[in-house]
Amino acid sequence: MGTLNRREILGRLTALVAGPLLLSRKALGLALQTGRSAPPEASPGVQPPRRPTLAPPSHSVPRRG
Amino acid sequence: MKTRIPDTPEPPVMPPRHWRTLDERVETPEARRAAHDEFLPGAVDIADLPAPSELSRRGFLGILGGAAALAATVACDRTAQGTIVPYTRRPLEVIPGVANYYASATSEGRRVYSLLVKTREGRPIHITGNDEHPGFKGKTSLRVVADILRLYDPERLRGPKADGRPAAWPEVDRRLVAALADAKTAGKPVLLLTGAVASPTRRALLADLKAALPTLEHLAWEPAIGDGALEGARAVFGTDVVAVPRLEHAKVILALASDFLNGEDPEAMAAFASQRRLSQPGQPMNRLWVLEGALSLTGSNADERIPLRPTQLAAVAFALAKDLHTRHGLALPAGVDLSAVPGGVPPGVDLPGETWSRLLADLASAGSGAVVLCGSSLSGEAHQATHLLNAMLGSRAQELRPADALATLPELTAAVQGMAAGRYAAAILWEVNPAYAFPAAQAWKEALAKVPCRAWIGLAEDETAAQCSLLLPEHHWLEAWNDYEDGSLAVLQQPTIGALYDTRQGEDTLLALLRGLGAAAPGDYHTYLKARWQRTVYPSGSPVPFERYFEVALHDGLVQDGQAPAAPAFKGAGLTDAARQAFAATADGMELFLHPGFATLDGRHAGNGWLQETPDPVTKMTWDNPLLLSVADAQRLHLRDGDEVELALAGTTLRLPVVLQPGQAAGVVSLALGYGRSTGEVATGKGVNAFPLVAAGSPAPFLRSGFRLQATGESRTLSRTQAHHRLDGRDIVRTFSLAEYAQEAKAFTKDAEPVSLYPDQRFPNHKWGMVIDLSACVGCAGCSVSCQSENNIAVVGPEQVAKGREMHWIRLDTYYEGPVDNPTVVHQPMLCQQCDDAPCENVCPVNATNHSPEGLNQMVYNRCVGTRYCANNCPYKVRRFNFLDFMSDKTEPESLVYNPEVTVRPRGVMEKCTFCVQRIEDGKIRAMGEGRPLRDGEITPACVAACPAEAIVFGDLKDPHSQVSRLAASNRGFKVLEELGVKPAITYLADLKNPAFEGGRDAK
Repeated sequence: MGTLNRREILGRLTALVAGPLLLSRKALGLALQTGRSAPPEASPGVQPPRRPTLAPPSHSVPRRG
Repeated sequence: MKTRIPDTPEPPVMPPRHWRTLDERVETPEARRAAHDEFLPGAVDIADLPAPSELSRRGFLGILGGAAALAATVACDRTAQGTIVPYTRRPLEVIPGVANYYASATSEGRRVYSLLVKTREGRPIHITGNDEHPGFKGKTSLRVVADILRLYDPERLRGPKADGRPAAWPEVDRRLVAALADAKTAGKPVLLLTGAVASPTRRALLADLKAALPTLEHLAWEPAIGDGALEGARAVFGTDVVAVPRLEHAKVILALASDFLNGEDPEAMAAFASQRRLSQPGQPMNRLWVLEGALSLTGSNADERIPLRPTQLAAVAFALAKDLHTRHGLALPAGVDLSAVPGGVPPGVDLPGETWSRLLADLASAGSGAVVLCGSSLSGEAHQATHLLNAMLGSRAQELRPADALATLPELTAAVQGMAAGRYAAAILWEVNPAYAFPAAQAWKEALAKVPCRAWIGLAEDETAAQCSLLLPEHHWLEAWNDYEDGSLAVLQQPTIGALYDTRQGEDTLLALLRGLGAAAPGDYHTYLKARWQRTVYPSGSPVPFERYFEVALHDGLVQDGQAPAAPAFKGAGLTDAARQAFAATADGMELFLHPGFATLDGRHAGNGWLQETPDPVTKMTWDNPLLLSVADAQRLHLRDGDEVELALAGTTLRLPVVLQPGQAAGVVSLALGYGRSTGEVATGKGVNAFPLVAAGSPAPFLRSGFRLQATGESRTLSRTQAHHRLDGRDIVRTFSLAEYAQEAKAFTKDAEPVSLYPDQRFPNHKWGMVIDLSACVGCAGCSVSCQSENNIAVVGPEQVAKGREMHWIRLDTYYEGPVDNPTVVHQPMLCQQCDDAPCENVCPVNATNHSPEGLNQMVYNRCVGTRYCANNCPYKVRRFNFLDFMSDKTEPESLVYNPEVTVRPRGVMEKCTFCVQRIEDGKIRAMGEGRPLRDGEITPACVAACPAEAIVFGDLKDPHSQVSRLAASNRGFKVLEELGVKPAITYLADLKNPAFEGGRDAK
């Protein structure tokens, strides 16, 4: 401990405080978030889906792989 | 082979016989350094890479622990959660993990390509030629292979628009039908502007629409086909004609600025190369003469190439006709009078008399085995003279087919004037982009603004769409139906995937218009197409029911449909005038030669990253269209590679970089069309738009003179790969004339394998190897694009290419030999040589690269930690490092093109050619499933499958009867850098040239 300078002590203290603080904020946010019953993937707006839908072609005749 | 002994002192620097850059030619210190260094200086520049950390080990571990805790917490978040859907309702034709292939087709201009499309889990992922097509034999154009990217282009329009807002199909149909109905009632014309119509069913549909709307005026326009070709054919045959080379019959080919080996015409390339794969001296070989101003890919393959000014070529062709008649007794066609044409080399043409005589003798002695091909950029007179020469020779090496009329620039200009005058009630623009490619684009825009109803049909919004009120997005051809005429074949295009978006086939839009105008029309184009086939293609009285017949046609992709249409008759009445004009058309000062872009054509492919990043086969430029000029002109103008110039002509001024191109005729500068687009994320800002320089109304719109060229004093870094990856060694390429080959073959003994301290590798089952015939390879880069598609190879962009970070696993090295004003050229595909004693393997600290029991130098991507030691130790410079994350951030739809059998590599990982190990394993599993041994030629890596010239052969070297084993023992065979003792698995066969003068040009 005696070999640590002031700057390193401050760095460690910051990490000790900031780590739990950030983690607990995230955990609380998850626990207390509103509307948990709603499916989280539901789109809020009416934007068209960005992912295209893949469908096989009609009437085409493939050659089997 | 000479053995390189490392301890000997460095020999004095000698300029190499084969060189790639002007620096290499004189062996500057920079060029020597480039040979020694693995990477370009810019490639390992860390300015754009994450800075090395100054953290201590303890600090690093602390942050690592914190990051792990945070990551674990964030991973509990449900925000980004998706839904996994089981494949409970699997489409019948889809078996997970097994590819389906669809025979289909497409067209580019007047060319038709019969294709085979590979799909995985319903996604088209790779395109090759249709193996059932007698001409293509499984090959196709590299632009068609790359066109799969347009299917997944994120900028595709996903639904119709009206007045700039999303709309429903009934609304846009109603508005368009109302405009057409009003025009019909008022008797006002409606303009329909399309590309070339190569489909007979589309042609029939257009005729139906014309019947329902008599005021319809249809123009088909292809900006890359010069008016000279169109007007030349009309003058000689009275109709539009397409000349299809049949080079399997050609002993002597004379190309007048014709770049028929540029990758567009796989049939011509295959036929040309088939006459150049000699296994013994004395076998027949064709001879290619090329007269041109700018070095083309065809010119780079010439046996005799003569740099000339393009405006001189028409006079040269007429003088050849005159001398063939007077000196060799070839009869002129009836009605042709060349008495006013002077014989001999035309005045002002720098062509030695002996060469002229030899060219004449070659053509005359080959007779019907000779053919003359004329480039589309040349004048109408040059095309007329070419048709005359072929008629005099009675050439069997080309087939003339009648073609649908295309609009010339004067005809299109008349339509523009009509629009400006308010003549048209509506305009429908389908798969054309005149707001970009019409020379007077501003006049086009102003005129189109005066048309009350403007509808656009296309894939992604372009310069023309920006001016249209109704946007009707269409299917990509991989989602659509159609058919094409290809000589005596009827070729079918079928969808390989359901429509990705709310789009509609262009023909379906026309059917909707027909119905709206009160005509009887089926509900969709598929029904219309089938009905026409039943009426006109299905053989009457056939015992096979039509449904079965059509199914088989779809399966095969084509059917024989009667005889090829008869060739139009030659009419030479106007040739006397043409000859007079040809001799009068000499340009003073420098000439500008405009030509379609290798990657972009007329700009339609400018948004394609694969094509943009494929180095031009001659200049090796990517992502740009520099001005090419000769070394002599550059010295005169004090210009160096990358210097910026201002090119001013008729009110248009372009600022662009220059490239000094060996082989360019003095006094000729050249510029590719199809760049400088202003829409699309990929295309915008890449190069300059040269279409404003095209001279509408001129007999040779792509040949210009009277321009001003001035250096701006600025310079640019070029994204050019010609100087990248220089190999350090001797005899990297070998090239023989036929006489030299006879001597070499007589003295040929198979080199003994260099002695190695390593124990010999053992291969219990297979030993995969490859042979590349440099004599057949034309350097088109089709292999490179196919490899990119098959192996999920990243596009890195122009800035990264300039730093030497391009990712292609197979590259085309172009070597020059001889004088800079007219060198001979050799193209050498260079890829991982799969060395048995690979120097990359024994330096990898994590064993990420190692040797397989089948002779493959394989990569384990998830072991690679990116030390780059392997690349540092590879003498062939074929390993590619992911300096940045080029691929893994891609999302759908772009990621839908990925081959699921090939890992997508992240940042920090080394990659290289695998001989398409996934195809090898697929072939082995298939053979095992069928309980039989592997057949020779059954496994084809993507480059082999794509090569139109069939220059690459792959197979099992353990099988002494395999084609690859037989070719590897050829008396033209050599291995690159064999003296290093790394035992490469690729054998190259020396390039052959068939010069008219044995001993080379010095003998003249």
